[in-house]
Amino acid sequence: MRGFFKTSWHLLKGTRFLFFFQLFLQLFVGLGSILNTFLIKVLVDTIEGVEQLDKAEAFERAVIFLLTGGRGNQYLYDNGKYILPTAMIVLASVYGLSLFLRIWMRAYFSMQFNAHVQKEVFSHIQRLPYDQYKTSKEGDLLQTATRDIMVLRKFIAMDSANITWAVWMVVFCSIILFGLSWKMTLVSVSLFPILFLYSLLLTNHVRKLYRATDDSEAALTDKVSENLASVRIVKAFNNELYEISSFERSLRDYRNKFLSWKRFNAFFFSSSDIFVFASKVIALLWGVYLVYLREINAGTLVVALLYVNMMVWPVREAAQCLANMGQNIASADRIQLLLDKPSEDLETGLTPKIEGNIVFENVSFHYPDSKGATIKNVTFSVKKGETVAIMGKTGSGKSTLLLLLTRLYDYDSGSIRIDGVELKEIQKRYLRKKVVPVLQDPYLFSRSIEANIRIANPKASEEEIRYAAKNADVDHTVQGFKEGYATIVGERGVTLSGGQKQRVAIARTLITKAPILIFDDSLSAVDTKTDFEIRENLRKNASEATTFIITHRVASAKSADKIIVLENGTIGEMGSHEELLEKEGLYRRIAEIQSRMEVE
Amino acid sequence: MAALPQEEALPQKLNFGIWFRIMKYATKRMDVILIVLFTMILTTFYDASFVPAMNASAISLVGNETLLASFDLWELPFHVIFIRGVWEIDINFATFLITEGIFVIIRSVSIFFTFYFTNYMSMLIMVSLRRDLFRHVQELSFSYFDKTNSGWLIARMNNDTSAIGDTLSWNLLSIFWSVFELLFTIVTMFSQNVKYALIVCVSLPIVAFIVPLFEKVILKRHRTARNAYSHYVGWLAEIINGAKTVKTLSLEDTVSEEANEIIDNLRIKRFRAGRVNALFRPLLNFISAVMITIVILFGYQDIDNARVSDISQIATYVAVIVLFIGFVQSIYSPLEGISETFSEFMANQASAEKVIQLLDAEVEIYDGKEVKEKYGTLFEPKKEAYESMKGDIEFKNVTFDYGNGIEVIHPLNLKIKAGTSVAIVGETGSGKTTLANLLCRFYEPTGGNILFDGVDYKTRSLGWLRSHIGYVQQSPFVFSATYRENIAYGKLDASLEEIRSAAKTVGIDGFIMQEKEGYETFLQDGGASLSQGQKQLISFARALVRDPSILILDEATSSIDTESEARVQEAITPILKGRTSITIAHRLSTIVNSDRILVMDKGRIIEDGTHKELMEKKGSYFALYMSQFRDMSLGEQLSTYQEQIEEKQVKI
Repeated sequence: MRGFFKTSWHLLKGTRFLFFFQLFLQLFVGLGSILNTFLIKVLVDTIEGVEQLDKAEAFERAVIFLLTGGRGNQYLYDNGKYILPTAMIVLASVYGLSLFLRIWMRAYFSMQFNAHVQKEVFSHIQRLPYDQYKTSKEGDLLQTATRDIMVLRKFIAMDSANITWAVWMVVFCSIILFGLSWKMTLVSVSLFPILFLYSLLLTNHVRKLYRATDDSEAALTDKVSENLASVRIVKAFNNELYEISSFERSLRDYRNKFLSWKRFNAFFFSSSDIFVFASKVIALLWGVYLVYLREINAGTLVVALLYVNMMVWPVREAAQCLANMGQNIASADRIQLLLDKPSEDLETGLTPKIEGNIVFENVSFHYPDSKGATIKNVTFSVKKGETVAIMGKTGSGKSTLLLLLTRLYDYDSGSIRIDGVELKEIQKRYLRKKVVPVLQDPYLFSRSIEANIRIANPKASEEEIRYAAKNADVDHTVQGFKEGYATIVGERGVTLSGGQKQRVAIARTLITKAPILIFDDSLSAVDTKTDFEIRENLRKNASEATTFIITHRVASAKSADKIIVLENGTIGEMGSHEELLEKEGLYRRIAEIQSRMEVE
Repeated sequence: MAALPQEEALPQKLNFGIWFRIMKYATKRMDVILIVLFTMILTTFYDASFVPAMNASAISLVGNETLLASFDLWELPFHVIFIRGVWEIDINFATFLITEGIFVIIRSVSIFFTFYFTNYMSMLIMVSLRRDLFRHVQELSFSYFDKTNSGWLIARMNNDTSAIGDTLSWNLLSIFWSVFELLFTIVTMFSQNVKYALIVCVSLPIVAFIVPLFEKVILKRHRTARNAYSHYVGWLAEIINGAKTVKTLSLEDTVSEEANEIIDNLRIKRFRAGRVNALFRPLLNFISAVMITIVILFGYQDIDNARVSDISQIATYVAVIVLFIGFVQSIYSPLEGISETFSEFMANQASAEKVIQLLDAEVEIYDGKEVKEKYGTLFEPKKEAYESMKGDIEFKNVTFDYGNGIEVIHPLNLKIKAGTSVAIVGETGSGKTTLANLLCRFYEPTGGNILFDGVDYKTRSLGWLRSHIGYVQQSPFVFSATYRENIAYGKLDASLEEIRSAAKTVGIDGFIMQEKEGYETFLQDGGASLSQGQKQLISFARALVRDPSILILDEATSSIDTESEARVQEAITPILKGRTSITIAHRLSTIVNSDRILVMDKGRIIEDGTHKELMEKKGSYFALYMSQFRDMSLGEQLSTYQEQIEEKQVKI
């Protein structure tokens, strides 16, 4: 609970004034309607006669004083038909105005708060180290950024207002009523504590049944989506009947859970209605009795009835809101948990001039979740503008070796220097603008192709985008689409093939004009001819960049200045194509096979 | 930067036809509808007639000094007017007290039934719709699933059906509720005092005009806000999934800017939706306040008159004023109710239309009438009439297009003898999967015939054909069920021995037996803990337990890594013996041992022979083989070359 308030208070930063202001306006609205209702009592008393007014209690006398400007009861009796309607209209206007302000300010606060929290949570999510993404369960981050924020906002902006409203109503109505007749008041509110507790307890149980229903519906949805995903299997195996009967089972379970939830929910409402209506009836009957004893007058009875009605619903509402606390606390905890996670430091570090001379010296690395080292004692050096091909079996550490250059992970021992500067000293944000990879499984965002390329360099001109696309040999393909570069990629638009995706991703990388480029098996899905053309383009147009290419094709590696064959995280062979051909080893064997099979 | 969401327009008119069609699901239970109506009338009667009338009688009593003084407490006389001149009762305090108590109970019981049975109707509509949709989806042909993604179907079967259930039951209730509440209120008002009733009624048209105006704006803006929210969620999911790209391209700043833009857009739209109420509520309140003032002004006049003529009437007028202040405040809510209901129907009409559209979707492949008579329908098959199958396949002048007039299979003639293992290879789009689809009768040929054991398959039922085919699809599918159930899916009544023997044949029995609960181990989330290779083996076992005459492997090993593929390959070799098998292969390494390899190109078979023959021919097959060879990792290239070229003594 303390954690909940701490988290809420922290997240309210920047909107705290608004928060209290809109709760404060609530007080005005409440007082407006309470006073307006009280005028009805004054009205009834006035009609009943001056003698009723003379018997008035302190609060009513104060109200009469204000209404008449101190001219006394007789004045009110004589001029009531003008004074009271005028007062009511004036009060109603004030009430209307504060109601307007309250709704407006609450909507404003609620959205301001929501946006603030969304931004804070998001900015934290995107500063999480890459490792955190891999270890958090899929969907957890999204869940926190959407549902948990929604739950918290609902509490901060709506439930808290409902609860304070109930408090204002009960406090003010009771105080005024108490001044009129304590006997009337005590009996009228006697059922409230029971109503409150009853609602609190039952709402909790309703929620449990609801959760069971929700789970059952999720199972039903799973059944449907499984059926749709396996539609080929279902048809091929002629199991439509079986599917229907197993769907029926899920449906029946859902139906039963749904009904028992709704049955209890209806029971909850109808049974707590008994307390609500009984409160009103008790106030009426008890009031009649008190009038009969001459303890109170008709005006007091009327206002007591109205006040009971104004108190009883908010009390039930507040109980229901409070029953929610468990859920609110859980959501706040999850938000706090996320905010407490470490964030990646993108800013500190050096920003040396990077040209592309790279030295690896005895570099070793292992993933946090694995025991053995993925990279072991790797030493090599590359000069500015050179091309390095990395080859090796699956799992030999090719991708890992090159990802170390981007500092998604930091190496355990040894040293990597770029232009003489130790890699770990370089600012990450700066580094990642200089070392840009095309990932093995390229990810495109669901927006236009142009936007996908431009995202890596927002200032790029249209010509530059086309130029990059041409170099990636994808311009022609894009021109072939009906909407050209404006074609939307992904579910809402065109589905690109693996090779097309790779080439768009290459264009996206080229447009950064980074001095160090990494192609992580990025040409695997294009044919040999395209592969060759793209490499030719690179050689001609990005010759000053240091380039790493991970590939399985000897033809692709052949022209590289240096070829490294990785074996289980260490360098097995290294040298130029010609040098490696002279040595007995994996590279030569493959080169022979590939050249044998090249024969047309 | 990021595309902003598109809006779905609201319908212009209510489509009664659609709603009436869905109503039929509800009218199946007239008894429930009658209970809801009856209890709802009791409830609205209590709220709009009983309470005001009882309160009025009490207030006019307590304001009357002379009456109070002349009776004992329990004998105090209450004059309750429900309908003036028609239904007025005189009771003493004791009866009054008991009546109030009884009616509290009656109202609570009524509201229980109203709520419960309205939910029951909602559930009934939703469940019936879901059931019908699911049945219909089972019957739909393949072409439908090509055009429709499963997300769309799931949205129809879940969200839309529950939206329709709720809309129909709760909104119909709301309409009736509002109408009765209005009716009872008006009757009570006129019973208490005609003049005041008329005054209040004058304001009704104004409110009835204003309310729908606001309601429309509110509905529209809420939809816009909801849209913005789902756009935000979609965007967020994408950024989280693309974290690696964001980081390596150092896109944090760009993405942050987008986040601010999207979040602020959402904030503004939600605020625009929320603030409409800020005008709406106070406006309604102000109208009430004006009406109250008018009532009081008239009241004073009447009371002044009463002071002169009949002092005993004063108390009655006090009661009337208090009562009408209450009426003025409550009479607008039924108007709001009705207006909201229309908005709700409008908002959910699109759901209803889409659901009906799905229910009406055409089933393209079905058995003819005669076939159905002999072999039964899909849901009531007559399995005893099914003939056995040897496994001869013949394509006679088969052509096919996907309904768009573009022929993808050109007149094709092909004979496959029972027991042959045939592999079909070719570039993407060459028509090999289409061929498999035609074989399984997922689609039917546009021209020509397909014969099994010399008989056109259209003269026999879908059920017959598929009961003889074992089909393994590209991405192995594992159900969230036990191992046993997963394998038995191929033969629902298979014994554990049959299941185990199938599992043994593919070599996964040992693995399953090592699991904690053996074959009864439940596979969570579609076998998320299994490797692709293990899933593939389960999928093979499933096809095998059917003991099919024909096995169709549709790119069955293309989605697994090479090592697992080799294991699967080894496992299935004995299975294929003695059966006709058709292997569609993308990766050629899997099919080098086939009896016959067919190379397809643009809907035609262009080469036909064994691996050795076709390699040495150095035609299309050789070119295909080569292009794939080069994409293998170094280790694979080495081993593949040894196995498939050197050991087979292929001369190249």
